[in-house]
Amino acid sequence: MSESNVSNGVHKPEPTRAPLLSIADVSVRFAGVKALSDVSFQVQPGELFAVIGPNGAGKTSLFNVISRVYQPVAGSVTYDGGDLLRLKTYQVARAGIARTFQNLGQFPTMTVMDYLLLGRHTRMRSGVVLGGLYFIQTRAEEKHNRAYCLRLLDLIGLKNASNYPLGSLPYGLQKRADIARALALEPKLLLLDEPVAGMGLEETEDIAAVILDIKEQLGVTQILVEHDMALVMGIADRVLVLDFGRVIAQGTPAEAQANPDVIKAYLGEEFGGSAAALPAPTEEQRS
Amino acid sequence: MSASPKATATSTTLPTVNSAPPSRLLRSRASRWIATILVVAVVVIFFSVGNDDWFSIVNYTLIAAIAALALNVLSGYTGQVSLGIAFFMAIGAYTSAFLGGNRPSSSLDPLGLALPFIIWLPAAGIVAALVGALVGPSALRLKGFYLGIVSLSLIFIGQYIFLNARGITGGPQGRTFPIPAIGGAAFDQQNAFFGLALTTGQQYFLLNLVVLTLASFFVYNVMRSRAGRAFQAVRDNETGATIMGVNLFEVKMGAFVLSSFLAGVAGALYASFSRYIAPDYWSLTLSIQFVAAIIIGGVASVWGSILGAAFVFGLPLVIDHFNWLPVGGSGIISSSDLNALLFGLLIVVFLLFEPGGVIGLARRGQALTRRFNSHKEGGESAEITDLPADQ
Repeated sequence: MSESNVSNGVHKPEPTRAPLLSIADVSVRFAGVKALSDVSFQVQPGELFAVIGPNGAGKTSLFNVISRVYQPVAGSVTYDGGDLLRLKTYQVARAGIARTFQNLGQFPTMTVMDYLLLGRHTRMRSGVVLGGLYFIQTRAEEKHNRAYCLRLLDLIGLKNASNYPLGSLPYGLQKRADIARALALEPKLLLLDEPVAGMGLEETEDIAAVILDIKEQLGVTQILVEHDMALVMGIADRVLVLDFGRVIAQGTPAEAQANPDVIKAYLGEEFGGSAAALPAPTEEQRS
Repeated sequence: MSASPKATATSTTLPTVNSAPPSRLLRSRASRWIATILVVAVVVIFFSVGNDDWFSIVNYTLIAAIAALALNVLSGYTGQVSLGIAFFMAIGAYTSAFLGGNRPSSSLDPLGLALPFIIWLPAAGIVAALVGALVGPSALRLKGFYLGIVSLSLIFIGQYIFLNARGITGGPQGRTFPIPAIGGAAFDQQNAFFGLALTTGQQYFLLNLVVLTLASFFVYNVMRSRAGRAFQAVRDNETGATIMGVNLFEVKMGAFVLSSFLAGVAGALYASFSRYIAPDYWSLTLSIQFVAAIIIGGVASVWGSILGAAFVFGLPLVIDHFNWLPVGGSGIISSSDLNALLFGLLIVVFLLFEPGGVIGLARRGQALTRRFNSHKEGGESAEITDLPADQ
C-alpha cells in the first residue's frame, strides 16, 4: 500500500494464489488449560476473514498468537511466505501486521495525532539523538508523517479531533481512532479485535462501513474477531467458528450459519439444528 | 455490498473536552507567561543584584532543574520508577573531579588530571550515561516497585563505593571539585566577558542557564518526536506499545541513557558550584527530593521539572535567606524540618487531587479561561461539533 492509496483509494491487491497467512495445527496451553487446539486456516490476500465463537472460545488467544504475544506449544504460522514464529513481538508490526485493541483507554493522555504517529513507529527512523536535535531530517520526517496521518484521519472522519487526547473522546470515536492508528502502519494484514463491542446499532453500522472501506478502497487483508453475529454474517468473506479452542466450522457466512454445530455452540443443545434461531443480518449490512 | 459507504461520522459529534490540547514548550499562553516572568526576573536580578547570595539560590535551582528534568525523562515520560538519580549525579560529579581536578600535590590528595572544562563537563554526562546503560537492562525484567528497589540499591552501593574510593572521592571527608574556565578565565574569580564584569555567581548563572536551556529543548524535542512517543507509550502500556512495533529494549535503554547523561551533567555542575562535597551528600534523601520535585511540578513536563525544582530546592533557600523562620535552639521548627513536612504533605495532596502537578493546575486554569472566554463571546470555540460529514 503506497501513500497515495489513502487519498485516492483505488488500489486493489493483485490476485495471488499464495495465502497471506497460513495457520497450521496451532495449539496454545496455559497451565494445562487448552486455549487453542489444532487450529488451522488460511487467509487469502484482500480477504475479510472473520473469527467468531462464544466467550472463551479462543478468539483473542488466536490474535495473541498472530501478534506473537502467546507462544504456541505446537503448530506453525506462515505469513507472507516466512515463518512468523521466528519474529519477536515488536517485529510483527514491522512485518506489516497491525492490530486494534479490544480494551481502549490504554493511552488516555496521548493526542489522536500522536497515537496515529505512534502507529507509524516502524515507518519512521529518528531515535533519541536525532529527535532531541530536531534538525532538518527529523523535522521533515515529522511533517511528512503528520500529513499522512491527517489524510488518514480525514478518511476515517476524525480530522477535527487530531489534537485532542484520546481519553477525552467518546467511546465510539476512540474505537475509530484505534482503527486509524492501526491503518497508519500501512499494514498488509489488519487484525480487528472486537471493533464493535459495546456499540449501538448505528455506531456498529458506521464501523462496518469503515471495515468495508478498508477492504475495498485500501485492499488491506483483514481478520475480524467479533461477537456480533449479524455484523460478521453481513460483511465477512469467510468465517471460522471456534468453540472451546477448536475449529467447529469454516466457510462462507451462509455455510457457517447453517452448520448445526455452530448453532449448538451459540444457543445450546435444545436449539441444535434450528438455523432460524440465529440472528439474520440486517438489511443495511446485506446491501 | 453496494458502492462503498464512506466512513460515516454524520451523527457523531465531539463533546466539549475538559483537557485542552497539550501545550507546547513556548506556544501556549501559560508557558509564554511563565517564560516571560522568568526572563524578566532573570534580567532584573542579573543586572541589579551584585549580591552572590541570590545567585547562589538561583544557581542551585537551575542545576536542580536539570536533574529534575533527568528524572522526569525516566520516571515521568517513560514510567520507570527510579530512586537512583542521586547516584547518577554522583557519577557525573566524580567523573568531573577525576578529569578536571587539580593534580595531587601530595599522596594524600585525591586524584585529578586537570583537564579543561570543555572535556570534563561532557565527560561527566557520558560516563553517567554509560553507567545508566549498564543498569538499564534490569528495567527489562523488573517493573514498578521492584525496579524502584533496584534503583534504591544503587544509592547504597554508591555510598559504599564513594566512601571507600578515596583516590577519587576523597573518602568520608570529601574533596574539592573543578572550576569551569573559559579561555583561562576561571569562574571563581571576577572576569570580564564582552566588556561586562561578572562575579562568580553571575558566571555560573550564565553557564547553568545555557545548559538547562539546551537540556530542556533537547528533552522537549525528543518527547514530540518518534522516540518520545515510544517512551510515553511504554509508560502507558508495554504490551500495547510492543504490538505497535516499539522495541522495549531500545526505549528503556534510551530513557536510562538520556536520563543518566543529564543527571551526570547536573551532578558535575552542582559539585563544581559547591566546590566541596562529602560522599554522604548523594543520599536517598536527595533522590526523594527530586521525586518530590517532579510530582509537585508536573510529571512528564519540561516546565513541570523546572517549577518543581524551584519549589523544592529554591524555595527553602529563599526562606532561609530572609530568615522567615526562627532557626536554631530557640526556634519552633527548623527550615529543613519544615521543608520535609511541607513536601511530604504536598506530594500527598498533589497525588490525590492533581496528579499533573503545578503544570496540571496551570493547564486546568488555561482550559477554564478558554471556556470562559468562549462563553463571553457567545461562541462555542472550545467545542468541536463539525466532524466532517462525508460525501
